[in-house]
Amino acid sequence: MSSEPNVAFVASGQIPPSAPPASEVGPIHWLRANLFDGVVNSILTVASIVAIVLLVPPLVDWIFIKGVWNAGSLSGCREVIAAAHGEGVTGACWAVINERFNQLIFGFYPSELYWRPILAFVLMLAALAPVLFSTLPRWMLWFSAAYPIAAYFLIWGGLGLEVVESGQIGGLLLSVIIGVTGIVASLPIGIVLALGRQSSMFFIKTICVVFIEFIRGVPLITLLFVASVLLNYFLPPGTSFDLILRVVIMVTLFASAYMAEVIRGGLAALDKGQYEAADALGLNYWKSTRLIILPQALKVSIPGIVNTFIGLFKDTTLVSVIGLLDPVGLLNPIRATAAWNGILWELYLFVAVLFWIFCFSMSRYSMYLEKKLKTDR
Amino acid sequence: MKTSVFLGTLAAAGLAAGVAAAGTLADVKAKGFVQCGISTGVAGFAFTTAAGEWDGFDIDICRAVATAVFGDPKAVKFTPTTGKTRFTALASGEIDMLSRNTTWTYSRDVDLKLTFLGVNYYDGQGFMVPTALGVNSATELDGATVCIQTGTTTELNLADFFRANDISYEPVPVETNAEARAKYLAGACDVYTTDASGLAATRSTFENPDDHVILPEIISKEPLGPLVRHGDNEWGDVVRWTLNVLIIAEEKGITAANVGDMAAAPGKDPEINRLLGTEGEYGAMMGLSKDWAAKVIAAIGNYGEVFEKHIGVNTAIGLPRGLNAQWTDGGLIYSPPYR
Amino acid sequence: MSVTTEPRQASFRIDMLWTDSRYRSTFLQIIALIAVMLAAFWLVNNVAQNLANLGKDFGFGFMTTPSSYDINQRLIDYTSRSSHSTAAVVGLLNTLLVAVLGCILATFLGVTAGVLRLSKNWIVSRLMTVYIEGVRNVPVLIQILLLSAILDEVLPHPKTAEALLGGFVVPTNRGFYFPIPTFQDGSLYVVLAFIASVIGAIWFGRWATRRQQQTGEHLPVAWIKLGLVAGVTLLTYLVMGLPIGLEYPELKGFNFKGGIYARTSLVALTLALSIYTGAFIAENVRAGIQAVSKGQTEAAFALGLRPSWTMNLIILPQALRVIIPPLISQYLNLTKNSSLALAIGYMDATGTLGGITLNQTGHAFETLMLLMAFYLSISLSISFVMNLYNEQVKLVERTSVAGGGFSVLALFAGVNGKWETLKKGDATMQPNYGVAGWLNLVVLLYGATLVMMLYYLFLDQSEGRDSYYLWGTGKQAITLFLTVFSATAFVTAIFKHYRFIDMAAAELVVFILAVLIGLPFGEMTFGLLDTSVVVFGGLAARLATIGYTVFGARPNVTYFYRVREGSGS
Repeated sequence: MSSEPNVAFVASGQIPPSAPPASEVGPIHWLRANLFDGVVNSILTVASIVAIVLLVPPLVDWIFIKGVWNAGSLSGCREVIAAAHGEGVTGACWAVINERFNQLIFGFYPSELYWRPILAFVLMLAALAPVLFSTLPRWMLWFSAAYPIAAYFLIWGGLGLEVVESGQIGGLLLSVIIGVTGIVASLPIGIVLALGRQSSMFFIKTICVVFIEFIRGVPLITLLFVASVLLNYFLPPGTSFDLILRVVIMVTLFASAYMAEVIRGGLAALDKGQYEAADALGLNYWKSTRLIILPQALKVSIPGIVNTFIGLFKDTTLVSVIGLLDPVGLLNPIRATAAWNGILWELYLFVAVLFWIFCFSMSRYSMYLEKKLKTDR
Repeated sequence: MKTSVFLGTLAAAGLAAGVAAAGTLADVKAKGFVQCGISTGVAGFAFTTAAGEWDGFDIDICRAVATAVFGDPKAVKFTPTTGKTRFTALASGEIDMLSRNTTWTYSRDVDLKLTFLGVNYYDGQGFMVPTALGVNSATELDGATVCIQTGTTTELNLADFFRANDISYEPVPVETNAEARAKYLAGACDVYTTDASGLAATRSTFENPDDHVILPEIISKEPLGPLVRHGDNEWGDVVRWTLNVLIIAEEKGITAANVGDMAAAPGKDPEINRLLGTEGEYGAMMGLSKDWAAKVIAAIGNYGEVFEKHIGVNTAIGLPRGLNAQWTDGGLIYSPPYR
Repeated sequence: MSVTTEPRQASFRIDMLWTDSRYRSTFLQIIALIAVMLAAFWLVNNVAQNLANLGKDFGFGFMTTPSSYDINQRLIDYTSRSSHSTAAVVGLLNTLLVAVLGCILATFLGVTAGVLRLSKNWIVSRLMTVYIEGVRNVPVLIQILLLSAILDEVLPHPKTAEALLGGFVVPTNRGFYFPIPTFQDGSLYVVLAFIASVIGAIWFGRWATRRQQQTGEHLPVAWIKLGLVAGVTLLTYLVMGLPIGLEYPELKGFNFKGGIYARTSLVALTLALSIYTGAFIAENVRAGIQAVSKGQTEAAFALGLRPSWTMNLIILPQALRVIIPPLISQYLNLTKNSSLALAIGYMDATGTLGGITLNQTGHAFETLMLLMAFYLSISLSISFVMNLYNEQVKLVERTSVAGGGFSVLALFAGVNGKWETLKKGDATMQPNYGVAGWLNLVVLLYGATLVMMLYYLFLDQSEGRDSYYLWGTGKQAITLFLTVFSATAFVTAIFKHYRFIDMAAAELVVFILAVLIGLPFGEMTFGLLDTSVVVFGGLAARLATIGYTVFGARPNVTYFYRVREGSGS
C-alpha cells in the first residue's frame, strides 16, 4: 500500500541550518552572558563602569596630561601648569621625581659610583639564576656562593674600590640590601629552626618553637625599635654597630621565623615514604636530611620563600620609622627642602609604583614556579 | 651583600669596641671623622640638597666641630635620628654628638645623662592659625583641633598650657613637620603648634603666608643646642667652644671673608688674636691645632652668617634674629670670654 | 672447624655522641641547653653592665607617674594627670578597637572581592583582579600614609561640611560624626523588649529547625524572626512614647559637638588595613572556593538547589575549612600591622606606650618589653583559638586523634569509666559546635572572672590603690596567672575542648592561692558583692563546674567526639 499520493510534500534535501539568533552569538551574546546576566550582574556592571568613568579620566588627566616633568621647584611646577592650562588648574609635579630620582634609588651614594650597586644588582640576578632555574649548569652555583663577598665589596668598597659609608646608602638600594640580605641569611637559620621544630628532642624543639612563635607574635616594628634603641644593650659595653647592620640582624631573625614555617611546610609536604626509604638505605640522620629530605623540601618551598621575600621586601619600608632613609624615609627630607615643601601625592605614588613593579613581578614569578612544580610531581 | 656584611662589619665593630674605652675626642681623632646625629628633616635646620648633601643650621654645627678637630668641614658623617632614637643613639655611642633642635631640659640633662653644651637657637612653642578664624590669643582656642609633632617636648607643654588655662582641645599627633603642614593646610586642624622657628619656617613655605598668623603667646622656653654624653668633658669642651667661637666671631666682626686676613698677623684686639691663634697656645689646651678657630670660621662663617644663610630674614624661612641676636644687640646670644 | 662469632661489644667512641642515635639526642640536647644558658647569661650580663654604665635602673616605677600628655581618642577616663600605665591601657584599647573594626571590614571586603573575582561578570572580575593585585603588592605603610592624606585633602572642612544620608553621617577632614542614641525614661523597657524578642526569635528558630527536620516543612524563618524582633520592639517603643532619640552632631565653635566621633586617623588606619588585608583574604577565599570540587556544585544543581543555596549550604561550609586558618593568620597580620598607626598619629599601644611614654621617660627597655608582651599575648590567644577551631573542623582520617600529654582526666579513668577516642564513622560521633545547656553557665563563670581580673589589673583607678607594677612579684604572678587561666578556661569551654577540665583545675589551684594571699575579690566586683561571697561562691561554683564536666551524665566536653565509653548519645 503505497502512501505516496497522500503525501503532500517530501523534503528532497536538508534545510541549511539557520544562523543562531543574534542574542546567542557575537558581541551581544558575550555582553549578555558576561555582563548583563541577571539583575544583580547588570547592576554590578553599570556600577563598575560608572566607577571607572568617574575615576580614570581625571587621574589620567592629572598624571599625564597636566603633569610637569621639568621644573626646579613646586612653585615652578605650578607656574608651568598655570601657563599651559590656565590658573587654578592642578596637575602632577613629576619634576620632583625627575630631580630626586637618583636619590630615591640610591640614597646619597656617590653618583660617580652608581655603576657599583647596579653591577651588584645585575650580578645578583645572575647569582640567583642557577638557584631558581634548574636547567642551568651546576658549576654556576659556585658563582652564587661567591657572590655575597663580591657584592659586599662592590657596595661598601674596599680592595682598591673607594669606600662608601653605610650612611650614604639609602633609597631603593637600602630596601634591596635589607630585603635580600635578610632573606638569604635567614635561609640557613630557617632550615635549622624548621628541622629543630620537627625534632623529637624535647628541649631543642622547645627552643625552636619559642623562638619562632615569639618572633611571629610581635610586629616587625617593635623588633626594629629593639634594633634602634636596645640592641646595643645586649652587646658588650662599648660595642657599637652600624644601624643598618643592626636592622639587618633583626630583619634576619624576623625573616628566619617565617622562613622556618615555610620550610616546615615543605618538610610536611614530603611523603613519609621518603623518610622511611632514607632510613631503609641505612643513611644516618644528617645524611638523609642533607641528601634526601632537604633537597626535596627546599624545592617545594621555593614559591613560599619567594612569597616571604615579597612580604619582607614590602616590610623594609618600616625602617623609615626608625630614621633610615629608604624610599619612604627619604620623603621627609625631600619634603623639608624649601623648593619641594608641600609636595605630597607625587612622591607617595612614585614610591608605591616602584614597590609595586618589584613585588608584582616577583609574585608572578612565584606563581609560575608553583605551576611548574605542580606538573613536576 | 649577604653574610659577608656581617663578618666585615663585625670586624669593624670589634675595632670600634677596642678604642671606645678612650675619650670620645681620641676616638674621633682615631677614626678620622665626627659622627653627628641629626634630624630626618626640618626646613632650614636639616635638609638634603639635590646633590645628596645634608645642609642646614644644625648641620653647620656638626661641620664646625669637624673643622675644629680635623680642619675639614667634610670630615663628618650624619646619622639621621628620630625623636625616639636620638638619645639612645647618643647614649650607646653610635653618634659622637647630637645636633638636632633638641630642647635643653632638666630631666634630659640629669635623668637621661646628657650634657648640653650651650644654646644655638632660643626658641619657644607658639601657635599658628589661619587669619580667617579671627583668633587673637591662644586662650580663645577652646575646643580647637591642634596639630602637634609627637616625640618632642611640644605635646607636654601643650597639655600643661591647656590644663592650666582650663580649656579643652583635640590633639592630632603627627610624626613629621611635612605631614603637620599638609594637615594644617587641608584644614584637618585649626591650629598648628611647634617651636616658633618651625612655625615661621613652615609658614614661609605656604602659597599665601599672609593668610596665617602666629599668635603672640609663646608657651614655653625651648633652648635648642648640641649635646654629648655625660662624663666626657674633653669632647664636650670641643663642641661647646666650637659653638662659642662662632658666637664670639660674630661679636668681634670676624667673618668667613675676612678671617684669612685677620689670622695672618696679630691685630689690635687681644681676644681676636687669642681666638685666631696668633697669640698664645689656646688650641693645644683642648688638644686641637693653634689656628682651629680660624679654620672653623673660614669654613663655616660666624654665627650670624650661618643664621642668615639658612634661616635668616633673607631666606625662604625668614626668621628675624629676635632672642637670637647678640647680647650687644639686646639678644641672648652670649659667649663666655675666650681667655 | 667451627667459628663462633661473638657480636663484638661496641666500645664507646667519642664520635658515637653524634652518630649513634642512642646518645645523639641526649648529647645534642645537653649541648643546646648549655649554649642557650651561656647565651642568656651573656645577654643578661651585658644588659646589666650597660645599664650600670649608663647609670640607669631597671624597674616599672615610672609607669605610675603622671604621663603629662593628652590622647585624643580614649575609650576610658584619661587626662594628662593620669599615669603612664593608664595611657598604655588607653593605647591597648585603641589597638584592639582598630584591630576588631579592621578584621570585620577586611572580612567583608575580602569575601566580597574573593567571590566577585570568580564571578562570570567579566568587568567585575577584572576590577577585582586589579584591586587584589594592585593592593597586595604595595607596602601597607605607604597605603596608610596615602589614604590618610587623601582623607585630609578630599573631605570638607567642618565649616563647609554637610550631613549625608539624612544626617546619619557628617564627613569632615577631622573625622566622621554619627548621631548617638539618647535614652530617656522608659527606654529600659524598650531594651528589655528587644532582648526578649531576640531570645524569642532564637527559640523560634530552633523550634522551626526541629519541625523542619521532623515534618520537612520549611517556614520563612528569617521573615518571621525579623517581624518578631522589629514588631515587639517597635510596639514597646511606641507605647512608651518614643523614649529613645538620636542626638545629632552640631557645629559649635571650631568643631562638631555631640554624637559619635570617628577620627580621620582611626578611619584611615581601619580602611587602609582592611583594604590591604582584604586583598589577601580575597585570595584565600578564592582558593577555598576553588578547592571545593566542582562535582559538589554539579551534585547540588542536580538536586535542584538554587545557586544561592548551593553557595550557602554546599560550597561555603566546605570552603570554610580551607579558608578559616589563613583567615585567622590574616587577622593576626592585621593586628600586628595596626602598629603602623604611629605613622599617622593614631594613638595605639605603639603610639602611647612605645611612643610618647618611651620618649618622655627614656625607659626603652621596660616599655618595649611591655609592648612586645602585649602583642605576643594577642597573637598567642588568636593562635590558641585557631588551634581549637582547627581541631574541631579537621577531617579525621585513618588514625583517630588522641590528646597528647597529661590530662587531669587520666585521674578519673578508673573511677568513672574509660574515655575512648571515637573514630570517624562511629555511630556515637556527634559533632557539637558551640555552647549548650549548663555549659553556658560555665562560660559565664569564667568570662566574669576574666572581666573582673582585667578590670582590676588595668582599669581600676580608685584612690589609695597600688598599681600592679608596684606589687610584690608573688602577687603579680598569681594575679596574672589567674587572668590567664580564666581566659583559657573561658575559651576552652566555648570550644568544648576536653582540655577545659585541665584549665579549670589549674584555675581552681590559682584561685585558691589568690584567696590565700588575700586578693581583694570584693573590690574587683565593682563593690557589688562581699569578699566572702565571691570567695566561697567562687570555690563552690568551680568545684561544681569541674564535677559536672567530669561526672556529668552527657558528654559535655568533647575532644573530637571523644566521649566516655558507654554513655552514648
